[in-house]
This record gives sequence, structure tokens and C-alpha cells, in this order.
Amino acid sequence: MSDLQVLKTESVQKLRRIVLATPEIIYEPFDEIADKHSLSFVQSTYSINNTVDLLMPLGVSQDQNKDSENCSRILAALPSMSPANATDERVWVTLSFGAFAEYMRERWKFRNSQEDKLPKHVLNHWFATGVRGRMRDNGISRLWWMGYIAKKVPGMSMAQVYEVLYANSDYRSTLLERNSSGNSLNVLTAVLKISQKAFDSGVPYNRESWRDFMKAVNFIGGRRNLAAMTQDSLIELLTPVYKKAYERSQKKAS
Amino acid sequence: MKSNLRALPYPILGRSDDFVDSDFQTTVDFEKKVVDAVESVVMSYTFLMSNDAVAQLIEKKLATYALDVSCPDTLYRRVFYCEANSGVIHFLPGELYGKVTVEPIIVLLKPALNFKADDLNEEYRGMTFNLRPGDTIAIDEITSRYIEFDKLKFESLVRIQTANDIPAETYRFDLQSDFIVILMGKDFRRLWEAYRDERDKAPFLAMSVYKDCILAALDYVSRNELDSDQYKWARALKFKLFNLGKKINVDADFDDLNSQAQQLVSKLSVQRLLRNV
Repeated sequence: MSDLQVLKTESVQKLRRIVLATPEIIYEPFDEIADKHSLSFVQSTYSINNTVDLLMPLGVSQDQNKDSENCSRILAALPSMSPANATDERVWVTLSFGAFAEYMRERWKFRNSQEDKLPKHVLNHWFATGVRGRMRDNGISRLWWMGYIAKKVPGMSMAQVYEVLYANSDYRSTLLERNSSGNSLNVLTAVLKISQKAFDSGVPYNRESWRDFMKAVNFIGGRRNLAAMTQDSLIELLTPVYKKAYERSQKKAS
Repeated sequence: MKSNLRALPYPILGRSDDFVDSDFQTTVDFEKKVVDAVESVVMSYTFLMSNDAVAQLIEKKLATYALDVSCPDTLYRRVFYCEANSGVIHFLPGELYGKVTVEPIIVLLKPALNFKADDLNEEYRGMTFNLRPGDTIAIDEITSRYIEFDKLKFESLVRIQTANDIPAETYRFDLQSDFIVILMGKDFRRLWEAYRDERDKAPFLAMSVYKDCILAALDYVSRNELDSDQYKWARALKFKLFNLGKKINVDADFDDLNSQAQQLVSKLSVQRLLRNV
């Protein structure tokens, strides 16, 4: 275990400008990038377990990309990281270009033939601006935040949470990237449990039904403060709403 | 999922005029505590409520005072039930960071059938209401605070940089990162370096460059109230204005913002020049 040296904020800014002009630097070793562009570092108070590696993805599909396994691994690599610390872009940029550079290049391969899209691709996945940037885009911080959420959910193992959350990216973003349901642990847990039960009973994720359900949750949340309700009451309240949303879509389809 | 008062099918105490003679008021305060070199946040609160019918709901444990705390940066949202009229809540170290909002509410814990109150607005008079768990019968104003452990002053988040790709005698601003970068054309940068430390000329630079910089920042924040919170400079600017008892009005026009910017740099500009008049 050692204290992580992170790029200074000004160096992160500098790197951002460098990437705009020469995004290919992601293929260069980090110490060479740092030397060449005089990037400076500061000793942080975040500990990193250097013995933990991320698994290399075997493909892009959910069963090949190793995201679930890597969520747990990044938590193990950064055992003392708090949510407040995890808002620090310097950490994620340093890890993306440094310790986990090889993983990043493999997991976030540039698949577009248009070279002018590369700077944006690198800015999205190697940097971490704003809540959405940290939660969804940065290749390393997204794993940490997903692991952090999975760890908090009571009554479900982390593997069970990953199984539901990683069932579909639309499911994940609708639930977690809105400033409402996902932030409230009891609502998140209730919705995950309702979904898991439905998946287990042979009702798979359906984009239209899911979105209808979440709209209904937000509508109910306009009258009742769902975050103030107990998990059991929420499950009791929202299960029929979930079923109705799925039945409606099934009727439409048939 | 913040409640929409207009859509609620029952009267609300506090932010509306549904109750004529009663009120719901709360004070919320934040303090940072350091224990064993670890900083954490403590929130103290006091509730004042003057409606008998709602007080009875609380007394019968059908409803409770509560604080709906949310912190988008750390994906935190939790409703704390508060059994007493005043108390403190300790947050875990690292749980909160950035903008924290607290909405004081009185929320139903159990169903309350045929709820009625004496001082309801005329439109509700004589009516009874069936309240359900999660219904918010009282709401006070939302309090917002910025929690930063490595807080930097707004002034320290402004950087000067020479830009060869803009006209040589001009300057512009890049606001899309934690720092505000003042990009200066080659000749303007020369002028800046020559005059920035000269007592009689520096105030003129403050009147133009710094004032414009603050104007650009205020304008950005007024147009992107929520999104701007992701940048350190924006949080620092809001904190600075909060300490000065000012705030950025989202409806402010150019003259309002320009006037606010001039006042914020007046110590470095007009006030210095006036000393020699």
C-alpha cells in the first residue's frame, strides 16, 4: 500500500489541452508524457494497493468486458477512498494515464474511423468532469462509483447488484444518472429488488416498460417523498406499478 | 423528486398559503469538525411549527419532522427523521462534498384519515384529507451550503495564459474547467506584464480584464446555475458572494451583472484610483 501521487490540478488542465491537439499520447508511457510536458505531481492522502490489477476485457459485451469484476477490484485498489475524495478529477486522470493505462487502452479502444473524434473520446474516458463524467464516462471512476453503490445496497450481494445494474446500460443510466431515485439508497434498493425479482421470474428488461415505470416513480415522487419511506413500503407501493408498466408494454407488443 | 406544491391534493404548511395563521420554520447550520485529523460535517437544526392539527399528527407518531439532505456530487440523498424540535446530525467523513441541499419537511409515517385543520385557506375550508406515508404536510425553504475541505479562494482559481490563436491585442476567457483561464493575445500579454505591477496603471487593468472576467463568470453561472457547480471557480465564486450577502440572480440582465462585477473588483480598481484624485 502506498500514498498515491496525483497530477496537480494545473497539470490536469495542461494535459487536457495536450490531448485536444495530440490525443495519441494515450499510447505513450505516462512517465514519458510527464517528462516531455513538465507535468507536476502532488502527494495525496489516498492510499493505493499496487498489487491489485484490473482484469483485461476480452470483448465489449457485458459478459466479456469484466466490468463487474473490476468494480470490486478498484474498490480493493483504493480502500480508503471516500465519496468526497472520489470527486477529485486528479485521481482518475492520474490512474487513467498511469497505473491503469493498459486497461484503459483496451477497454476504451477507439473504434471510430473518424480521427477527429479521437480527442473527444479521450477527453470523455480519460478525464472526469462533473458528476456524469465521473459516474458514466471516465474508465476508472465509473468502476469505483458503481462498486461504491453496489457495496451500499442492503440485503443484496455486490454480485447481485452488478447483475441487475449491468443487465442494460439504459437501465443503469435511467436509475442512477437522474438526481432523484438513484441518490436515495432506499429507493434505489427497492427498485433493484423489484427488478431482480421480475428478472428471476422470467420478465426480462424492456426499455419501454422500464422507462414507463421510472416515469411513474417520478410522478409518484412528486406527491410523496419516496426517500422518506421505508424500503418495505416502497416495495409494496412500487411493485404493482412495475408490473403494470410491463403488462402495458406487453399488451402493446401483442 | 422534489415535490411540486401545485400538484398536491392536500394542503401544505409552510411555503404556500394553504394554512392562514400557522407557520413552519426551520434553521439549519453546518459546521466542520476535526477528530483525529479527519474532517467531517455536523449539521444542527431547529424546527418551529405552530399548527395544532399537524402537531397532533406528530404527537400521535403519524408524522415526523424530517430533513431531506441531498448532495449530488457524492450521490447522497437521505431523509433524516427528527424526533426532537432541535438536534444535530453527524455525517460520516467524506460523505458530503460540493453543494448540499437540505429541505425541512414534516412527513407522514402512517396513514392519517380525515385530516382537517381549523385555519385552512378558504378553498379547503370544511374539507378533510386522507394522508398517506410519504406525503409531506409541511415544507420549509431549502437551505444550500457548499462543503469544500480544500477550499480555494475564487482569486486563486484564475490563471493567465498567452494564446497565439486569438488576435494579438485582445483577451478572452475559458470557463470550462476548474480554473478560469484568461487567454491573452501576444501584445495584450506584453501590456499586462508591463503594467500589472505599476501602482498607477494596474487599476485600469483590473477595471477591464478582472471586471470582464468576473462578469463572464457571473454570466456563466446565471445561465448554467446547476451545471456550473462542477467547476471549482464557480463554487468559490458562489461562496464568496454568499459571504458578502449577495447572490446571483438567474434573471439578471447585463447591467445587473456588470454592476455586480464592478462592485466586486472596486477595491482593486476604482477605489485605488480614487485615492489619488
